[in-house]
Amino acid sequence: MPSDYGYINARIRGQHSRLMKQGAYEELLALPGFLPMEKWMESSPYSRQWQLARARYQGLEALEWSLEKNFCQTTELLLKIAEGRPHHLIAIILRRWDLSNLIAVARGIHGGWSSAEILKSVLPAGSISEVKLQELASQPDLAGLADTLYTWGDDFYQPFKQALEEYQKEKDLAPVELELYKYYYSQVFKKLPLWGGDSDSLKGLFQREIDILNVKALKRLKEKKDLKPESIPEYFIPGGTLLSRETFIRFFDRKEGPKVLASLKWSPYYGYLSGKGSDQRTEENLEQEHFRELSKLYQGNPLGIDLVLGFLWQKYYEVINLRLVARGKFYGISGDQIRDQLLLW
Amino acid sequence: MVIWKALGAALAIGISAFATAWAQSRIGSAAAGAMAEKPEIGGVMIVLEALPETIIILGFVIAIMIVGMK
Repeated sequence: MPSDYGYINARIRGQHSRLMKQGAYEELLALPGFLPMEKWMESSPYSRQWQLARARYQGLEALEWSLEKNFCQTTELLLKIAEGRPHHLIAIILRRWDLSNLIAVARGIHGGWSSAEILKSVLPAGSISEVKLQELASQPDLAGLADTLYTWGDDFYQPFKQALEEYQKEKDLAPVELELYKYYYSQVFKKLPLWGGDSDSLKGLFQREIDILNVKALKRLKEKKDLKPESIPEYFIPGGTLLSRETFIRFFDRKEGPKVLASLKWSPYYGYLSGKGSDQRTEENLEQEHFRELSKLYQGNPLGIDLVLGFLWQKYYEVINLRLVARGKFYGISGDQIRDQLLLW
Repeated sequence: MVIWKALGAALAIGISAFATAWAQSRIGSAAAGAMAEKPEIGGVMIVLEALPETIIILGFVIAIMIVGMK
């Protein structure tokens, strides 16, 4: 298997040519119900997974399963066609699905959900397989989850172990999630320098994500009335370019806070931070903007990791968009209302 | 003089051969990737793979011209 980007990116371009065009969404939105969408699946690039899904599930569940399966198989393919440096970079990117799956499983266990319910909210596109996720979801508590990860030799065991004591005292999941994020990004920044100039795009991506997470933390903590000043630094995730730990802490100071905010006037987050109240829509906009930037990477360096990144996110959002359309059709929501929810680039 | 001519001709052939090999290696891996996704483009890929041969043919012509110089 070759490790050069010429081969990998040629395959990615082939895969990319099967992504849906804007016009295809319009055709889907115009379909008169869920049944025609099932028919559409038969001749779509998702047909192979759709055939498999129909043997196991029915209706909306079958459709969602086939979309997710297709995405997971795409990520498997990405790892399979690359070796050496690109392989390691792709593995770093895919690890983020492990992170979000572990958060979903932890939330499910914390909320007392059944393992079947938990599994509906995971997407096994990372290195933790579906079978392993089933095992994790059936754990009785977070200690069991951490022990299972330790048994498998998965390094995400460490953040769980670190946050477990605090979780058991307060029964609050926030420290666990924070610890997971911090661990993931610290590992990313440890590994990226090993891959030289190739990893620059990835570095920028992760830095922007950390900025968004920190900005969201600022906004949410500002709204929190019982915030203890000594706990503020714990919410800061290092690695971003927008805020330093000191600036993050100064934001909550009565005198210094407005100055910090004014210093962020140039950034795309100023409007979000200066607005009052928690605004779900603005938060979504931040994430959508981030996604659009990622998608644009597909037009980047043809002999680098950019193409893989751009394609991966376009594919991911295609699956999310199709799931939205399917749900909309299943529950009889109008095409215009569904269109508002779609994220196109 | 004969030594210089021979050296010039050798460089013309050698450098163009390296350039051809490099271009064909890059085109070859990209063609393999593209054909893995779309086998029907095999014919076009063979043509593209053969295109850099023109570089070494030009190198060969230049080498002959150098050797034939009076």
